[in-house]
Amino acid sequence: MTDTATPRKSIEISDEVAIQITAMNKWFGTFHVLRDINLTVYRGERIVICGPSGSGKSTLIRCINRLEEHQAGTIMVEGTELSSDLKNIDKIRSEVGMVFQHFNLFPHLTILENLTLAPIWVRKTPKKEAEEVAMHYLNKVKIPEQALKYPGQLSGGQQQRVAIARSLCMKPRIMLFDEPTSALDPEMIKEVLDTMIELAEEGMTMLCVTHEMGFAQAVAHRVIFMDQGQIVEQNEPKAFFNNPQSDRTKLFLSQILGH
Amino acid sequence: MTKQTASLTYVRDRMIPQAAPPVREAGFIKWVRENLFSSWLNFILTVASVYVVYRVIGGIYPWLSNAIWNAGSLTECREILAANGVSSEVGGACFAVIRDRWVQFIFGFYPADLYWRPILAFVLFFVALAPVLFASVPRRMRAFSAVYPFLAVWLIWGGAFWSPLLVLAGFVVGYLAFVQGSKIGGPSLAVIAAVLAAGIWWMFLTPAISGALNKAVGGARLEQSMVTLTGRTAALGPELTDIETQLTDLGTQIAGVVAEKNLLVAAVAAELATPTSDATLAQARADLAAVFDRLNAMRADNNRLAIRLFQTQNAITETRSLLSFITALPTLEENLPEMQAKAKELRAALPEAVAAFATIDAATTATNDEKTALRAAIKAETDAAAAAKTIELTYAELGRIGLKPVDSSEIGGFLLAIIIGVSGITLSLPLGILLALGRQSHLFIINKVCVGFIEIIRGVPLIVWLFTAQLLLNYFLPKGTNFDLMLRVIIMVTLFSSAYIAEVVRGGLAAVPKGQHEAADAMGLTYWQAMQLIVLPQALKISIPGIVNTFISLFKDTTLVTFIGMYDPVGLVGTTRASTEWNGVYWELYIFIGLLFFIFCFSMGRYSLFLERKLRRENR
Repeated sequence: MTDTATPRKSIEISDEVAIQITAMNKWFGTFHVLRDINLTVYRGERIVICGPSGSGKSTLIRCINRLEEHQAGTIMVEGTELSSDLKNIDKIRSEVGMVFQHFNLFPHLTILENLTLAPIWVRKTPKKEAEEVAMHYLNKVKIPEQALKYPGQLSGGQQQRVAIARSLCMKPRIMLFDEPTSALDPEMIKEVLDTMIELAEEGMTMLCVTHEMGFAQAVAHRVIFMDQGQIVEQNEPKAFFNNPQSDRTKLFLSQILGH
Repeated sequence: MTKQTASLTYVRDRMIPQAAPPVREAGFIKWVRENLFSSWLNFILTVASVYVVYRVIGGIYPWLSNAIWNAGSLTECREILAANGVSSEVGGACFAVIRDRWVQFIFGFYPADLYWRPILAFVLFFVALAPVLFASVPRRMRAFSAVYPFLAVWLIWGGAFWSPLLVLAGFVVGYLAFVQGSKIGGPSLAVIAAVLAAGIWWMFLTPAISGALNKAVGGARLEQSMVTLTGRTAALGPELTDIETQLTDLGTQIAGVVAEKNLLVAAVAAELATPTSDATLAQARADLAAVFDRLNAMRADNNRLAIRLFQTQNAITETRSLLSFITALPTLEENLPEMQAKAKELRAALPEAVAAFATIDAATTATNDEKTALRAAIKAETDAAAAAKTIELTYAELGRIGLKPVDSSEIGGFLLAIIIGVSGITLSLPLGILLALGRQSHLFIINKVCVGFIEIIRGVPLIVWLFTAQLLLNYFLPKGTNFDLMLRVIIMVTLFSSAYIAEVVRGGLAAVPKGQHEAADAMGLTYWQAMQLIVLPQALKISIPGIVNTFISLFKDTTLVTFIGMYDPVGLVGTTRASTEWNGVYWELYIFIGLLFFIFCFSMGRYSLFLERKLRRENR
């Protein structure tokens, strides 16, 4: 667990809607993986999604940038509806940043090239400007000295911080985190979480699938508990952890916090 | 209890310094023990291998060390060997054949006075290749690499300087159409527009423009050419007679020296049979060697003269025929409209039953009268077309600013192998990548077309495809289009090797983790961007050994074109052996060809290793 003692300054959540998911369903073949998901995320809101493995939490956030296709219901991201229209998909993807469990850095490119690739090719930013932005974010995640190395030369924690910086270089309005610390050694988890906390303090809209309950308590406005492809319970962190309502949530929390 | 406690606690008070290993565990002795004599079985294998190597080298070495380089024929090789006292069982290599024929093995029947063109193209090839192969070469040089193919084609095949430029312009036209198309519609419209625009440019506009240019330049040069050509014909006649006299003289001289040589051969043989003294033998051998040197020098002169004779004869024929064409040109031009009008008139006047027929064979049901009318119409049409063609060709010959054209059938030897190999290699890589992507595609039709193409091409031997290129392709093409056999072969070789490349690249694509695709997608890169920037660089890196392997086998497979009547190096072995001088030689020629192929293929293999090592160093 990370330190939860220091209270984080909180930025007001606006009442503008960032993501609106209505009656969304998804199947993998015949398996009903997401069932009737309704979720509204406001700008500046930070949501932690937790739940046992196989509960569909990763699939949910992967639907938001169309890495997975939903079969029923609607998903609106920043006012654009996700449909099979490729233009909409590309538009949404350039507004939504994503950080993966296994970093997925491009091994054949240097750190700097990893960071400037999408701004140059998708946003058509001039190379020089893109590099300046990249160095700004590398400073922010505290590894500017690694800019010319290749991903394989970095530690896991460093790689994940690069991955966060890479997403930020596109100046996204929403950040999705898919278990960003699950593949890391314990001593590296903290450096990544610190980066994420810093990001949270700046008012980024964040959806984070994680089992780091300390992180959830420290920064989340809302915690969502999912099981069997459904949202079982959601609440603000304090109430969620101290006074869980459903039996599934209680069982999950006792298992995850019990040791 | 106390005793046990004492043994459990331990504190080192002195660190041990590093010491040298025992002699048996270091240096040469260790290497030999580990690699040659590590067990009794390995001991026996080592000794047996050394024995085999000794026997093989012992068998080949005398043959190589007795090699003869300065003879004019296989018989002379044997005479020299006999004079040197080499028994016919041991024998010696007759590399004189390579000295005599190597030029032909490199260039085939390419005109000797134009050798500088393929040589320049070959040198520039490396200039164009450098920025592609090595990252340290300035990127700006890639512009030259892009232009090089057109330059090389022009250098090797010759023609007016604007023909490569017009072909190049077709790509620009296609690109402009692509840009316009992608502005109006999607990428698929852009591709269709690009292909159509470039196709129209090459099919219709290029011949029209180059015809107009020929006519403009040719028309302006007409008078001047008449004068120069007449002058040239006048000068060439005496030159030919001169060369012929020189050749006859030299022939007589050579015959004299050959007689001298035969006497000396007999003298050495007699000396060997009944030796008198070592000095006499040595003297006789030295005399013989001197005669052979003289003979070779004279033969070299003779060859040079023979080539000049051939060239002069050609020049005379060419100037004479061009002159006659120019003389006939005004009349022909004057008559052409009339001929065309007459053909049109006859065609229009044809009875309805046969009006649409293009050949007389097609009109099976026509009456005799109808057939006669049709025959007359067809004849008038053919005549008009022939006249138009003659005018066009005359202007092309007159108006050409550029290089003398060389026909594909004149290209042979390693020049042919390199042209086919290099074109096949450069074209099959992009095509193979596209096929591999197509095979991975979720679009049903594209996927099935690619799978079908790959399986069919791969499932049939290359030689069958080459025969198809030679014999069948013309049946499928529209009548009248007769494109070059070499071009057809290049297309077939490219298609064949692209199927293999596709499978190699597919393996590489499968090895790129799914997360890489997802990360690229999540950033908003389009499919082609993701492929070009993320997936293919990684996939191709994995596929390098397989790709280079395919390239090497493609290059060696170019020798198969010998079966469809092209003179690649292996084909030229037959030509060489068919001559009276070198009938019976074979090892030497195959060794030479093998060595040259080995140099090319080995370099490709080394480059592949270099690239693998470099990429491994860059991204571990």
